[in-house]
Amino acid sequence: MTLDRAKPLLLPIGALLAFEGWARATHLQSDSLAPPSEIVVALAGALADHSILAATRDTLFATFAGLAIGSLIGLALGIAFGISDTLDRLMEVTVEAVRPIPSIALLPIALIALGFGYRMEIVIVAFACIWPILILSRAAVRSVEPRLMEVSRALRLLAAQRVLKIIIPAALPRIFVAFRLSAGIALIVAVTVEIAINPLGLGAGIMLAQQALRPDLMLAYLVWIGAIGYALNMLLTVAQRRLFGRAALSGDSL
Amino acid sequence: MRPGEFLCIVGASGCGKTTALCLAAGLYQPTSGAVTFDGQPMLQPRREIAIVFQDYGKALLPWRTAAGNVSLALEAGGISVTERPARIDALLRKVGLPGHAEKYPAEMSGGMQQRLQIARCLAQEPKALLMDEPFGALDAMTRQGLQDEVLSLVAASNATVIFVTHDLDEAIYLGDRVVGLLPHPGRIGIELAVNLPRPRDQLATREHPEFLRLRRQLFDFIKATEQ
Repeated sequence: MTLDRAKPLLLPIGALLAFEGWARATHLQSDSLAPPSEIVVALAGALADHSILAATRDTLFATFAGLAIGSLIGLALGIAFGISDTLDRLMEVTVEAVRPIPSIALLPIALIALGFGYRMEIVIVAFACIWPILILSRAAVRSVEPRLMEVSRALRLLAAQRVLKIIIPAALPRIFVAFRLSAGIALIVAVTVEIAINPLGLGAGIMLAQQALRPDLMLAYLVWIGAIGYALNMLLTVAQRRLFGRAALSGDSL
Repeated sequence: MRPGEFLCIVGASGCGKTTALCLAAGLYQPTSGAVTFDGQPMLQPRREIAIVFQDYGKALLPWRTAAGNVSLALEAGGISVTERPARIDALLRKVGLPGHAEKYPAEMSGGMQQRLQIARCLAQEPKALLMDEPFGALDAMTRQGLQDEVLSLVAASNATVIFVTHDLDEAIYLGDRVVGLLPHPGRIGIELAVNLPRPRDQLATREHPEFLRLRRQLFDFIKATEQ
């Protein structure tokens, strides 16, 4: 059983050991590679002097702020477009024209308008998060059981009640999936902005280590960012299971 | 329709039974003519008119408990938070679901779910109750039990009922009047007054000579429409 569970770890651990051995045997001197043992030491050092923790705080702040703003805008638009066909048709061309713009391409404009710092990064992250939430929540609202909409009409629910009591709860499990997707995108975009230009957070940390010719520290940042992305996704997956276990269950039986 | 009347609509599939009900409910608008309620045209659904759908599994909110589902109608009616628990309790008792308030629809049987939907409709304190094949998906025993419960609930509230069904026996058993529809285009093909004594009884009523006569007449009509 434990052996079975350890099997997927066999290959990565083996590869790391082989790399370590190779690096030591050849007395590796490189600006881009470092043996795993040195990466671990660099990571421990960055944790000990809190530099990587401060960078993590900065990156996560921008990530979550952008995610929150982008999600709210995307959700509001998605629900509105899902409910009103007229509005959806009116906005169709606009949305399809703006949506394919890679969010990172906004960087020069955002930089001129807002300068370096959190605000510029948050705006770009938010822009990236709007679209998946908009598209998926619109689809989720559209696929709310039509019978429930008839029930809400028969009960004479007010428009606001209809949205809050029927549409959002019915669409929530699918909206949360969209939120999870966007959270991953938000982290990627935040780090990208930092690597490209913004002098804060984990992305800037990587660039600094690279310019200081510290491949061990650079790779330590890389490993750390991977761990954060993994933890974020795990957290949201667990939250999804806890929050919507029952909804998912009843959704299956419908 | 007379106020307090129990009208049953029968007919072959696709003859417009459900459409007639949705028109009466104000969910659809007629292309010609008018549906009126208390002398006013029905341009949209009204609170005094409650609808019981056949597919209770889709008409109930799966994320709300039984109490929460009944509460939805009270919330729509603007009943204050403090009044709701007592009303919910009384309504669940009325439809035979006391003690199931905290269950979710997915944890209830089909019959219980349909009772719950009826409780939610009664929470509207309707003057008219529109029922679209409400027992079509239930087994025979549950169905008979619910038929009698609906009859006694309706007798107690004096509501007007339109009851759509494909079960001819059920139509005669429940109704004061039975209307048979003809398809293409949907129109009234037969209208029978049911003068059977009330309260009705699953055995005595169904053995009544008048019941058998009406049953024969209705069967012949349906058979003729299917040819």
